[in-house]
Amino acid sequence: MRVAERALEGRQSAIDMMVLKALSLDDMHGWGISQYIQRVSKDVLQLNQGSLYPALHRLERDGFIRAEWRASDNNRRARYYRLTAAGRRQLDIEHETWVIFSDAVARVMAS
Amino acid sequence: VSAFSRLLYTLRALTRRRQAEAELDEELAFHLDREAAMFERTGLSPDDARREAERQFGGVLRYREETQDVRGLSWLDDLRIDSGFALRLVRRYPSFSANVIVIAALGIAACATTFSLVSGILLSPLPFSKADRVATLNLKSAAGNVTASLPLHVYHAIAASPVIDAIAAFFPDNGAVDWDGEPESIRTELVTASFFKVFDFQLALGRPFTESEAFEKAPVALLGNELWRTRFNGDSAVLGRRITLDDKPLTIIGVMPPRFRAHFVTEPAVWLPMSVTVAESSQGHGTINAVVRVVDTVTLERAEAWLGATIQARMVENRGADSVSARPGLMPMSERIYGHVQRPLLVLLGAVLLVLLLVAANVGTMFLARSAARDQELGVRRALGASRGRQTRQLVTEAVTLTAMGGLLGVAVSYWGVDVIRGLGFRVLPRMDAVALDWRVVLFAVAATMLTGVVGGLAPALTSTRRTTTTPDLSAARVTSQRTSSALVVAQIALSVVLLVGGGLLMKSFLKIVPDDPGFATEKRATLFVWLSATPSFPDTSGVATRRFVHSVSDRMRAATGVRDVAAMTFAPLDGMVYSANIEIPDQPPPEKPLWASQNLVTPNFFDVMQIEIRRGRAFASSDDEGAERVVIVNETAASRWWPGENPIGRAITLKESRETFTATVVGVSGDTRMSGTDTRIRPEIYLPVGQHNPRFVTFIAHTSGDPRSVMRDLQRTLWSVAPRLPIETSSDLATIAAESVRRQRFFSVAITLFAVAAVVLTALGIYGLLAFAVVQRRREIGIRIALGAPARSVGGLVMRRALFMGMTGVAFGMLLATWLSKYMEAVLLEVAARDAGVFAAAAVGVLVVAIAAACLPVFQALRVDPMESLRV
Repeated sequence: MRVAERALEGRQSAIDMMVLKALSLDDMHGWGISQYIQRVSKDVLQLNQGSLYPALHRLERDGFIRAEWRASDNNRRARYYRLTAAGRRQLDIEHETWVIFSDAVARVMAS
Repeated sequence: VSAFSRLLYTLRALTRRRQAEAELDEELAFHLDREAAMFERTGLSPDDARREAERQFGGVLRYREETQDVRGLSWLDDLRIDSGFALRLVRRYPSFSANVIVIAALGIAACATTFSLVSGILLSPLPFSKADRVATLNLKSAAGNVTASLPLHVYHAIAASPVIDAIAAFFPDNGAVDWDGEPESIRTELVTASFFKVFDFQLALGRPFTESEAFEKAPVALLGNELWRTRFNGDSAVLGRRITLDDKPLTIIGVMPPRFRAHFVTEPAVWLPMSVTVAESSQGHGTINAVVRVVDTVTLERAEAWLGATIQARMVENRGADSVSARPGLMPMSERIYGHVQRPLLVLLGAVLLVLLLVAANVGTMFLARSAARDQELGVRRALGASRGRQTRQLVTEAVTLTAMGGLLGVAVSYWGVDVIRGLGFRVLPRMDAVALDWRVVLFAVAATMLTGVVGGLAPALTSTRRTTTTPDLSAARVTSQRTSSALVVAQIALSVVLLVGGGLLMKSFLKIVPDDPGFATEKRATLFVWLSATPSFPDTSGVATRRFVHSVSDRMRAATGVRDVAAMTFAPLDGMVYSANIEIPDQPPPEKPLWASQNLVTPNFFDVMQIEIRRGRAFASSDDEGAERVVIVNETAASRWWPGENPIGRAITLKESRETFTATVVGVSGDTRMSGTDTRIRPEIYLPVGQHNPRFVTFIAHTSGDPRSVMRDLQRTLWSVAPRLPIETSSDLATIAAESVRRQRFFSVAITLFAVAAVVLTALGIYGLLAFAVVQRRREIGIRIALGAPARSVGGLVMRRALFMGMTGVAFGMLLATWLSKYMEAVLLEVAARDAGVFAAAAVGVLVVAIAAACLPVFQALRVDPMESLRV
């Protein structure tokens, strides 16, 4: 029950989870993350790119990711995000929760 | 971790706000540029590419704002906007705002001032390090009797105990310092060298006594800070100088820190070295008072248990009885210093918190009344999409802004209030020097401000935000807001009842212990108290010499201008000092309990000067001297107790003194007096003529024609003209002594009564405000009633019924609450039951009367409603 409640917190936590997942592969800036999600989800997830930014700043506020300005590939300054240890733990929790939840939903739907 | 990092994040965002905004803009611009560049590469024109990028982004402004919200800035922005709005409201509703500010200011000032007592006395640390390890030593018997006098062998045994870090003995004394020919009796304290180890503190100047100085009783002294400042102007060159104490020159080796007095009630003027071994051999009275510092590794309880288990002692429980076995006990220094006022102070703090609640409720009613007048504005705000939470925040911010102004004003007022209370509490409460407007008080004031503000803001928020925006059913809204304000007013009434009961109980207790007629005159009676000990200033203490001294001092004082008559007695009344004599009545079988009586040696004119009536027989005469028969005068209580229903004149009593036992004949019966002050029971008293005894403690009582203070110097000089350099222990007057004897009780009862009065006034204002407002709101309804011919009685009844209903409900709740709370009062009440029916009834009736009185003006306003005018509105 707890699992379902958590997962059902909705889109927001899904975005958080995907952001954390993206950053677990490499440090990225906001645009990079949006490209990554679009590409990996094969354009299925058509979310507003703008909604990433409240999520990024929330995760930064909560200490799951850290931001710093770095030169990007086209030599402009970009705000890069990096996963913290707490963020990595959070990703594990969310991922696990998500798997349990989606499994459960899948079983219900298949029955 | 999360809460902390969140705070850091918000703080950073706050301090670098502009930079953070610029950074966010840059971050978003980067995103859009990259996205647009991607579309440009697919062949779109730069303009189309940008549009497509923005479409993909989904509303730049929206997400920019949402991100800023995340950054935790929005509530700060809201706060700024709301408080700005609140300040504009102050200008728009000046009288309302002034009311809130003044009431909050007064409430907070009263609370902060009173809390300064709690803070200074109970909460501020004692002025020596690790004060929780320091305790005074005593002996406890199995029956629970306690004595602070330790036999020397117990002292030594405790000193050797492993749980004791340091032990020090002290001996309070008096001495006469010679200031260029004028003797001053000062308070001295003899302490062992280890005293400075037990009380670990820094001297203001110089060094403490060494062990060898203490052992030799070397002629060295430490000055109390007060004496140093008043007599030596705080001069640091005082070290090495000499003072003459009891004709012995002493070298000053140090100065105590400001206001340092260890656990003593008064600050010793001079500290002298003593040694327990020397005391053992020379003073020989065999017992000693001591303080200890317990080692760091055990608690005081464990240390006490250890001492109790390892050390056996004996103590005397009653005079004349055999000694019983006893255990050493430790009384923590904090309890020793302020334990006796902890209870009353906490009662006072409770009263303060009640007043604070009342102020909050009062402010709440005021805001409620105003929010009803702002219905429209609030409705528009909701229609424009203000959320319920947002609106609550706005109303609370408004209220807090106003009460914060009140709080600021209140703290300013209490700055002065703390000064006043320090004056009032001086010599009444311990540690008054630690009472100040310190950080705890300020913190308390801030909390009090927030409380009143939040209650003030939440009251209207909870009622007004409940309404829906689509159907602004104003009448329904009015009902809710009226109901909430009624509840707040009922709460105020209940709190007033509680405070009145508390104040009433304390007042009654106070009035009981203050004898309205002590049985003797107190006005215009100066007192000078001397002690004729065998010191160089009064070497001959034979009866002949002391009697001559009393006689010639009285005669010379009587000759001074402004003095009508002078008498002498042993101890001034109401001063706490009583000489008790053991009495036997020769022609009666010995009673079960020995008879005791307060004994006074008095001059023949004593009864005249004190205006104590002689009910039977005669007063003393100058012929009652050594050659004559021994005589005694007893008071009525003694007469009726010892010879019930008989004439005591001519009977005999036997006095058992330590030096002699003698029999005296009763020649007179005097009226009863309350010589021993706060004790209301009148005790048996006996008076003996000075002429037949050896007066060693002498209090001269001068009946003056004017203010007794104005002749004090003359009286002192007159005394010194008879006995030069004889120190005068105290000079005062009976009215002052009488007032002082009940100062502590008076302090608490006056304080709590003031609170109660303030509470009642606030409540009256609350009732009046609510009803007056209701009349204004119901103008139209009242107008229609009057137009339809309702008699004045029923119109007035509308308002009055409501007042009565609120009054009754409030009083009922108040009585319940007071009954429950009164058990905490028991410990501070003297001679009054905590559930004294009279006080409870008086409080209930009083509050009801006030409620009705407060309703009268609104009733009058209701009657004056002009139906035509009100219907036209």
